Amino acid sequence: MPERMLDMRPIGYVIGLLSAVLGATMFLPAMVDFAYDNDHWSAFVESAIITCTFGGLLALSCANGVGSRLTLQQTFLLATGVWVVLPLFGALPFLFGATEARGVDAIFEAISGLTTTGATVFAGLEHLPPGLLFWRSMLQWFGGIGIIVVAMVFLPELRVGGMQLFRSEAFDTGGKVLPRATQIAARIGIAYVILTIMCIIAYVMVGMTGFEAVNHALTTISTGGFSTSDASFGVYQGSPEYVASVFMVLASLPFVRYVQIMAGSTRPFLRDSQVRAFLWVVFTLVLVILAYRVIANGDHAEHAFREALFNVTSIITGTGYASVDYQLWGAFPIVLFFFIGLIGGCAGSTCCSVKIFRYQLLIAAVSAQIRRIHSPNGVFTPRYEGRAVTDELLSSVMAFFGVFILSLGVISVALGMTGLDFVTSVSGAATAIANIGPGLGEIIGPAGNFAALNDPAKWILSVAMLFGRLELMVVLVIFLPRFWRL
Amino acid sequence: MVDLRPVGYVIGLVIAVFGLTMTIPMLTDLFLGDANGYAFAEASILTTLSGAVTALSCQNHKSRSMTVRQGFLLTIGIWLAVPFFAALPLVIGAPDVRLIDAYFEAVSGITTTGASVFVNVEDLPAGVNLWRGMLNWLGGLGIAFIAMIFLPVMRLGGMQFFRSEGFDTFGKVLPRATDIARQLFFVYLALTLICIASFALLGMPVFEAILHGLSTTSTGGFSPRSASFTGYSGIIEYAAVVFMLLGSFPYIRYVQLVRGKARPLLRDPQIWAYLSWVGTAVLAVALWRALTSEQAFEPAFRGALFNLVSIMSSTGFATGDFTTWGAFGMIVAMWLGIIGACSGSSAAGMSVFRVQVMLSALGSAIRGVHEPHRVAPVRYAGRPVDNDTMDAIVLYLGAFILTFGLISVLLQQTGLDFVTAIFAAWTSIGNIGYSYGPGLAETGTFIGFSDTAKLLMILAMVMGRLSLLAVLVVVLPRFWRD
Repeated sequence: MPERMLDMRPIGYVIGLLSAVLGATMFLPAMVDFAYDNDHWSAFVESAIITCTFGGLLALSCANGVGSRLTLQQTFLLATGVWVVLPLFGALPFLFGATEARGVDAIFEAISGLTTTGATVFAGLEHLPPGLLFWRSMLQWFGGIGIIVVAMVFLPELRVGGMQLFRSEAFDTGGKVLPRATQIAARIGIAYVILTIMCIIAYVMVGMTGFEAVNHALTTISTGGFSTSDASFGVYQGSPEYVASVFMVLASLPFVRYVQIMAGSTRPFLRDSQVRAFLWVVFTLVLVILAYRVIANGDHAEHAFREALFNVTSIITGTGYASVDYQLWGAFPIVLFFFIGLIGGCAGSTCCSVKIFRYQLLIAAVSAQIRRIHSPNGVFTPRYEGRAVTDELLSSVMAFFGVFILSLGVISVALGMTGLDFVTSVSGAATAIANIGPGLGEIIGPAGNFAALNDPAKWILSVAMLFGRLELMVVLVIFLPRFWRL
Repeated sequence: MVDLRPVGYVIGLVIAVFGLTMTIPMLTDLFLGDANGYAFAEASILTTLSGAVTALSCQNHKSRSMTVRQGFLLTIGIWLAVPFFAALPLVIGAPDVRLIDAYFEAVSGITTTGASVFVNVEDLPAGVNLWRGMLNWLGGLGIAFIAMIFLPVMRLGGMQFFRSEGFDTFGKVLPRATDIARQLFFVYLALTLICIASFALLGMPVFEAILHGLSTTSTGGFSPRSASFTGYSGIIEYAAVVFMLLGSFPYIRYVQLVRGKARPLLRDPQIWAYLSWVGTAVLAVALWRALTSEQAFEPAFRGALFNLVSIMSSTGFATGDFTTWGAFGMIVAMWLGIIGACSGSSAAGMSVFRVQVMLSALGSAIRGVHEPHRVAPVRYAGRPVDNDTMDAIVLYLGAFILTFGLISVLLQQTGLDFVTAIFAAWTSIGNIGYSYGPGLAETGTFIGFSDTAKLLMILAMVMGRLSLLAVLVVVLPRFWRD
């Protein structure tokens, strides 16, 4: 027995607790099914009992080792563990319920939900029991709030991928991760709930039924992208698309700013350079595609604007709703959409992918370097929001880009090996790592779904979604032997 | 204000010398009794005169040294102006194409890309094919020279890391350069001759051996056959693999070898990483092919080896039906092409060196996670990588991704499909020359592309050749301010 062993109890405690809570929430879709007079509710009760029992037992058995401080290792394991264990339980209703999915499909769907990806393996969504549809939306909603907390509390603490930039900002944990996490979750939770309710109301006002409005609001605010029908937003042409665009953008801004606004200070929000850069990027992209469609294709301007706005925000925020198959707009937008997906929203939101601030840091470094080339003897320091960017931060961001490209490479190669075609492999890898939803091509494009893929490909994509959701580095660190040495 | 005279002087000289080299294909054609030789004669006179006049008019400059800014202009000037003159014989004589196509072919040649717009190269006069091979060869020589002498001084792409290896030429670019250039030239020539001799001995017709020798050593990839290396099955393919690899090692190591130091060559971590990465990829693809198809292991191995080495070394020869093997092979090929071969060779792409530094930064970031209070510097070859180099590499990789994205988006804008656009951007920025995609299926060449697409590819080839930034930096207004 080594002198010090990694104490797994705090991890088990938190995971157990969260599982139990997840299990308890399964009664909500059960009630929905019950209300709609669908006897499908028993599947949820069954899953709820299993999940609650497991979670409760795990939490109880670990309860005697919980302190307020977590070591670095425990933090890493906790962040990863939550995202690995919860989908397993989230998948239960798909296994027991009306979809009668096989294990791999159920887990894929649950991971896609909790990571707010929005890729689905189910076709014929309209015919699923309402409870099950609601459960899919709930998974994304939980995943969304979960990732904000992880991004704000855990990642700055773990100092990976440049997230340490947000360390000093408002939420210094001083090592006391868990108490801070609860506090922040509570405050963020309020903002999150308010946004969701506003979104529901807006959807109802533009003509969605109450059920559809709730489901879509849950998946819009979490930038998830599950819908209640196969056609996704194709059935809501017009004003719902504008509403969705607005809320997708709102959901991809840093949530800490909303908390500050609620506390009465709007300045940080208005001054946030990340927010500005993000809005500016969205605006430019919409304009480019609008110009292309009006000039090159001669499309109707309002249609073109609405569809461009909706699809650009849907892809850049990683939501993944589809209103029309943008692959039919002509050749140009397809490659563009591929790269748009690699931009992502702001840090501290529900978005995934590379994120705006990393590009900003990269550009800061690049412009400092270009000045240095011009004046070899000058000293130029890259700056972000007026602060000097440290070398540690920069190499951390660079490491993130490195891992991002590397994982794209590895995942696309692995997908190719399972026999998928080129476009499906490459865009599938990108859409999974960036947690977007649809890929490109005929199979997994905006008009298709992931049902037809082979099992190994589904497993690979599931792993890629988790990996991408946790900012890649968090998972990677755990696989190193030195992580387990103390 | 930048003094343009030293720049014009050198460019003029280079062009004049370049015009003189046109006499070689001229004599070849005349010797074989092909009237196309006169086209070369005409182009040669035009080129040499233009070059001489430029050089003479700029020859009154005072200092013997060059500033970094002039170095930038010189590099870009050469790579834009020389292909223009190189295109002349192709416009004047056979194959009598439009200027844009000829310029495309010449840029593709001089940047050692090897993407072609000529459909039936077998029907071209021998001189034209020789000229294409020579363009590859001269371009390879030129970039080896630039990579060793200019890039480290210009602090581009992290090449300054190699400055201390006896090549610190800051402030005295030209005098020092001649010394290195001579040694480099002989190494390059020797390598080419050995390559030609090997090809000829292994049964390739002598003329084809010469042309392939020229474009193999330079990792160019022009071939006098439409089918490229298909048809030379067996031992010749293995020989080509060896020389493509040798052509994509850092030339610094050869110069050191000539100076009697073999250790740097054998100990170069870049070379070992390069060989092991390409080796792993080849084995994986060969095994996958052997297991999933009827093909036996040796042909599968040879096909994977030749095509993947050709792509990663940025040569661009093709053999067999590799592109029809399925997506796995092409996805691996795409990533290998993006990585590219060694820094300081005639290859482009991200380069093994930069990827290694990136991986090292990754390792250091992860170590930093475990021991937050320890400073873990990024190391390469046992030396810590200084911040200046690090920033330059960040800049390079950022610019690479950006350029790749932008060029492929713009290419698709010209009406190409997704795969063709991505691979056209890939083949030009990486100076690879391998063609793939449904948009090329008919001829296997880029002749069917629109003029805009060809111009984009030309831009991408030159940018890829000059470490991207040389071009980006000069475009900035800041560059022209004092």
